[in-house]
Amino acid sequence: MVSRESGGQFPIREILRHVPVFTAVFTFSAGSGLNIPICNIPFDRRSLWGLACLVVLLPLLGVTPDADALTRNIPLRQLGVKETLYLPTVSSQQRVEFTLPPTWRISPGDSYLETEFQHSTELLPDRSWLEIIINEQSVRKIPLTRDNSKSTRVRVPFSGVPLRETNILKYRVEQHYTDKCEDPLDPSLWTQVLPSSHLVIAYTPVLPPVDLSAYPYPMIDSLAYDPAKVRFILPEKYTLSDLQAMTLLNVHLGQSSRKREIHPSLRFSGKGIEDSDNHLILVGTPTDNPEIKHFAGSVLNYRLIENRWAERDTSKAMPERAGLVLFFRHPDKPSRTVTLVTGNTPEGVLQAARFLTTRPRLAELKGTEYAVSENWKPSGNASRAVSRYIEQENRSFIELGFETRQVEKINAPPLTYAIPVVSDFSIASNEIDPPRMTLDLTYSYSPGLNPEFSSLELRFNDRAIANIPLENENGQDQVRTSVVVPNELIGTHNELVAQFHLLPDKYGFCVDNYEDRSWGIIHNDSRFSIGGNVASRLPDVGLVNSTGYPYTRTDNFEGLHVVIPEKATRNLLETVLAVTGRLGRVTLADTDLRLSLDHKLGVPLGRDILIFGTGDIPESARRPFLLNWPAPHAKLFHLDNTQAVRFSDDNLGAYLEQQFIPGNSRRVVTVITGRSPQAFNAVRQLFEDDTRFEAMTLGLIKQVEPWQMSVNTVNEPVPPPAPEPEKKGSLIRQFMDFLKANPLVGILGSVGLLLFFFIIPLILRRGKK
Amino acid sequence: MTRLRRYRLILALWLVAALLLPLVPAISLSQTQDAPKPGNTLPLTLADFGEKDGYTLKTVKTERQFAFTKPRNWEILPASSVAVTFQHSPALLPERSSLNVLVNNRILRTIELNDNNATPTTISIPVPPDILKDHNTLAFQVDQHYTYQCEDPFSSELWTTLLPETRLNLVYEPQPLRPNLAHFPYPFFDDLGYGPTRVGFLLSQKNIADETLEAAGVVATLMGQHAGWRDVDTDVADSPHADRNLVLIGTPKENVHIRNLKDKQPLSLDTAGNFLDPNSRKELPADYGIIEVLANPGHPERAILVISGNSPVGVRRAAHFLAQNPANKLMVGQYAIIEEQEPGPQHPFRLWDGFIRHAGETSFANMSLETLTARGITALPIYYNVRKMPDLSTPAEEKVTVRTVYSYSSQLDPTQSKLEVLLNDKAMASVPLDKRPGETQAVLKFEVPAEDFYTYNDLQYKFHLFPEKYDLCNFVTDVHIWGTVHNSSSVSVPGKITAPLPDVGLLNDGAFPFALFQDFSNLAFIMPPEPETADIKAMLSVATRFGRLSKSRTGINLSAVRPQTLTDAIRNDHHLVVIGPPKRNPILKDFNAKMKLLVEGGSAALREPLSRLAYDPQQGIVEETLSPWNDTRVGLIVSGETPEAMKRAARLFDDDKWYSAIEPGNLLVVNEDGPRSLTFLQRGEARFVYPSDYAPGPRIPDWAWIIFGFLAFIGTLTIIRLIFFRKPTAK
Repeated sequence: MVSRESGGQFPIREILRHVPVFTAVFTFSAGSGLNIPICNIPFDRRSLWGLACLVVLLPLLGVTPDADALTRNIPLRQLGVKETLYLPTVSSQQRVEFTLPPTWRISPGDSYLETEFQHSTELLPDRSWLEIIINEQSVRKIPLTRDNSKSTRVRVPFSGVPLRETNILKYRVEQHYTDKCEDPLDPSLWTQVLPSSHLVIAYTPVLPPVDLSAYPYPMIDSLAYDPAKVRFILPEKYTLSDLQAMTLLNVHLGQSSRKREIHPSLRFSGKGIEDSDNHLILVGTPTDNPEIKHFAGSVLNYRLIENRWAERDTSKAMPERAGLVLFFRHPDKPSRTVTLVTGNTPEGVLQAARFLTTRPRLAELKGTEYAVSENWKPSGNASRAVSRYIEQENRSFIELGFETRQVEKINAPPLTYAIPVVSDFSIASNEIDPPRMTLDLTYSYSPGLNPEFSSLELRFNDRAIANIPLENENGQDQVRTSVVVPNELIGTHNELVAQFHLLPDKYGFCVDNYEDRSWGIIHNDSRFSIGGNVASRLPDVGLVNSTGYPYTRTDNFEGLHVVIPEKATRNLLETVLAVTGRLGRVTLADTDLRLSLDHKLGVPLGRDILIFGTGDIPESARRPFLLNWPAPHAKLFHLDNTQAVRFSDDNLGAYLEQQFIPGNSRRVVTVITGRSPQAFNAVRQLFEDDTRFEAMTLGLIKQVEPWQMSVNTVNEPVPPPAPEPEKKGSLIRQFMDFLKANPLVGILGSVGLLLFFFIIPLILRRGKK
Repeated sequence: MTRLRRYRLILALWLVAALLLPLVPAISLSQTQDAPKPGNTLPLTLADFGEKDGYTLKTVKTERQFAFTKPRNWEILPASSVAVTFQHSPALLPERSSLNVLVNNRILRTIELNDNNATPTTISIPVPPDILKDHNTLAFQVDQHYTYQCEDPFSSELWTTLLPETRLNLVYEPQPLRPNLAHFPYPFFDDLGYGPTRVGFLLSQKNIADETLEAAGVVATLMGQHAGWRDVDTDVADSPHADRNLVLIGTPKENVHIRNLKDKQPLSLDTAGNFLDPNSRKELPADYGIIEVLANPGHPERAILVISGNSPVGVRRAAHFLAQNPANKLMVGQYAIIEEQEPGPQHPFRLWDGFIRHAGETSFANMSLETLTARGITALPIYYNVRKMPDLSTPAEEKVTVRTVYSYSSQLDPTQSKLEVLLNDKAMASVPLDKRPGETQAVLKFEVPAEDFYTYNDLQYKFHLFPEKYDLCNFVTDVHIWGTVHNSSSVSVPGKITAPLPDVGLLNDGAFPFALFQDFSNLAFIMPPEPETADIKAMLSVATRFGRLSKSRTGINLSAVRPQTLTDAIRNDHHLVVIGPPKRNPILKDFNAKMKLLVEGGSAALREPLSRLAYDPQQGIVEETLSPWNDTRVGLIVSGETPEAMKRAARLFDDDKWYSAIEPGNLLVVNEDGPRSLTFLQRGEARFVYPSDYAPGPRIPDWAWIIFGFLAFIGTLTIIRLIFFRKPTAK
């Protein structure tokens, strides 16, 4: 929450800040010939009243010496600390990363870190301490005494602390409960840093540089704490090219934003909506989008002649298919930017958008404007980026976005990896050639470990799956081992934990002076190997959660086709922005963006489809869907020709449904439908809000409601087939059952028959001989 | 006072006021925030957490966790607290022993275990509301030591007991209700809530249609299915002012309470009491169903669910849609008008989720059991509830085989580490964990006598884990040792699908046989021609209980009829639940031939053997018989001479203790203090129940096997003789 210091509650510190103002008023009063009664100096009665009124009113009016100063309170929760930072054992450390955006000029004297902590009462005060370290500089060392064992707050000012754009805050403890024979892992050794701890940053906003070479910064600032707010301004009568250009720009913003939320919005040109807090992106030709003219004065090399862009010097009109990209500071709101993606024709507009969103960025793209030649074409290179999830191919840690990571010492923290898996690894999915996932792990560890207790434990979804002893006293470098991941543990959102249990060799309760130089490494060439026949989980709309699957099979979206109705409302288009922005955030293209967009369903082969609509979907496109909209307020839901319900309501809900494209069991079509602004807003908020989106579960159909309380799953299209009645068994089985139940009959019968048919005839034959 | 002094005083006061004025809002605001709000208090005792006798924390370090929830519409207030009452071993070293109280991993208080609190001591610890989420964990951790040297971590000297008085006091303020069908079953049922789900049904007292009765049964069963193991308090309300969530069922013409809510409902009614289309303002077709949810005008924190239509057919359609999975999850808003509703596919026969359904092998995964891990030297046991369908009968001489797939860590002490398995608290198997590198997905098989394997079984895995070179005087660490039981483990049950009926005891086993189809598509309630409140209450209680014991994946398709509307299809093919006293429900005459207890004129006579019972007309009667019309179906008679008797019979299904006390037999007499089972079943009367579409195959009588065997043997020997012992032909 950003607040001006003059607003809100008024602390003592603030009052003290006004003392110079009061003093000045007194001085002025005295200097103007008034008699001040304080210290036996006489004064005038009217001056007294005026003075008193000034004293009261000045602070209330917010007159401060530095009206532009802002403060930002950043709780540890916002930095990813969910509950508490737990610091156990004799020596341990936790780290938190925080950023300082380049648009903040920090006032170190007014900025501080407030830490709230508590610790075990058993700690020895003279040998136990909590150290606060910022960017490797120790800023405070606090003895852990009885007095501060209960929740205690400590404020550390940032004066003299070397702050950077990305900073590492570390809490480190040294803890002991006895001077002799100490168990270093004893449970009484603990300190907790509570999530109410926070940073208070006082800063003055600084205007960022605006240059195409850094586009989309400062629109998208990876160091910022707030969601990026961007407003697209589209012609009221937009063309398909305008829509496509807007979608490309939006996906590109998403790819630049990554972990930061992005809240794109839209308005049509000429429709007056307050743009106060947004960066603006105007798309279209000057003819279609008249608001572009308002910013024409900011263009250096081009000017508008009869609503057409022309070179300023020569007045020569830009070619029809050429585009123009402009990126500059908003003339009225300097902290905001304006991006113009324009041209003299819709094709030129699209050309400009394609150029601006292509990767890698072209070197000549710099300054505040760039004319895109009509001859420019994307490279056409194939994307080499691979999806960051496991589908059916092997994936290395690098491909999944994980670096080589090292941990140290006796209380080495667990190394956690989020492993998205979009396929079905249950054995039931294919019993003949069941799918297999093997973790081929590469790890190293230090010499001098205790071989009896040191190990590398692997947990998958909080279940221990392997424990690798670390037994070589000389340590080992890049050891490879394979661990089969049990199928039953593999879901869609998985967590792999590699926990090094590092116990020093010369270690024991009564070894006071052991050295702990232990470390362990998980290398990024570790990989997941996939075997067997892996089944697809498609269709399932819940798979877009975290991964954007299946639309993100390629990062440049060459497998995505978006269908938008011809007369789309603002709410529907904002939903398109929210969904495509989300897809962008989980990808990073290495070529130009290649998604296709149309008003029709005519689908290029080999693409997954995303349809946005109000239910008026063409008959040809309705076929695979279970939910249809036969009348303005009615919904028709049918299952397997046996269950059909038709009902109507006040259309406040929106629905997401995914099915296979008819005749293609690899490609899917997802339809996002609603019939009211509230319905589309609900979908928009679902895709924009990280917490809600990441809570979305699997399911064929999702119902989204405006109250944001639940996302219902319509998930059981067909009940499982009736179990086969138990076979009563063959006649032989029944005979065996009978013999089991009546063994005496069986024995007597067998003996009798043997005698009658075999032995007696044999005897009789011998007698004859 | 001189003028100068007065001015000085005024100036001084102004200055002080001016300096303090800006602080006033902050002060008043902080007072507002800190002042304890009045609120309700929910005390959760250890008994509520399943430890009614308290819990003892043993060994050098251990932890006990209790899960609790924050209901959806509660704002937790700062007055919430944990009042921990404990005592501990006097042998503990105070400077080395402590009790930590945690909520959601945050240590709220560390209590030194010293001489002052060795005897029962209570300490109250505030719980900050901001750390509470929907699902929370209250934990008690102890670190206990009795010596600095050579300590046995399992010594009997190491204990701290949390006494039953320990409680978590949640102080809360209920938040306003926002009724919305997208959230259904909330607020009627909150999976985060406490206490029984209290629902009142408000129906017409007169001229109630079969469809309306059926709708009530469907909604009651649905509420039961949502509640599951949680208690449900279903009642027939007598006015819309009842302090509970209400379900209003019937047409507006039939149910005056729906008419009275005319101005509060999202859909309008015309003067004749018909629902109007919200767009065209025309009367809705008679067969359209109406579902509405709204806040109760008399109790804004309570909700009203309206199941209605302009005809009874519409009412039934609305109820069935409400229960129809998954279509019912499409509803959003305060109303839905059901224009068409085709019943979904039938829930498959005998598809009981989480149960062993067939002879042969069933994996833990198929029983919805998860892979679980236990850790450390004081690893807690891993519990599984293994359930077998009650009609899967295993002959006494056969064995049930449990195949356990387990893994364990490296570096265990092979001489002491082992995995122990207990079934229903009886030790069944034990295996040493003696491979130094550990094992992955090793298998342990053991057999269990069939008589020790019930419908509901507790399977317990105890990992006894000791680190390598474990030594009392040299114990170092156990953080790296663990054991895992995989859900690829399985249970093999031999046997046949067969169940002796009638037996009211099987009601306790998942409402068998009524819940064989979990959507109750072959269950019919037969109500008296003029049902009274007690009869409807009994029906709702039975329906709710059956719902609690079942889980339909499709819908709820039970029927409710009266003797005069009983169709041949229902009579011949359904299990029947007959409600009402013999005097008012004539269908019971058809059951006379099957009933063992005939109640006439205030006395009860047993048909065979002839005897008389000390019968009290206030006693409720619940009897199960074979259906008079189909020997593979049963009838459950819920009866009693008086309203009080009907009330007791209904309570049998409401009260968990009473219901779980039902024992095998074919007759239950429900007294003031609970049920008593009586068995009058005679030899040869038991039948085996099969579904209508389930062909058991030709059954050959046993004696025929002797003939078949004889002939087969002759044939075989004849062939052998022909081949090997043929006489040489004379040439």
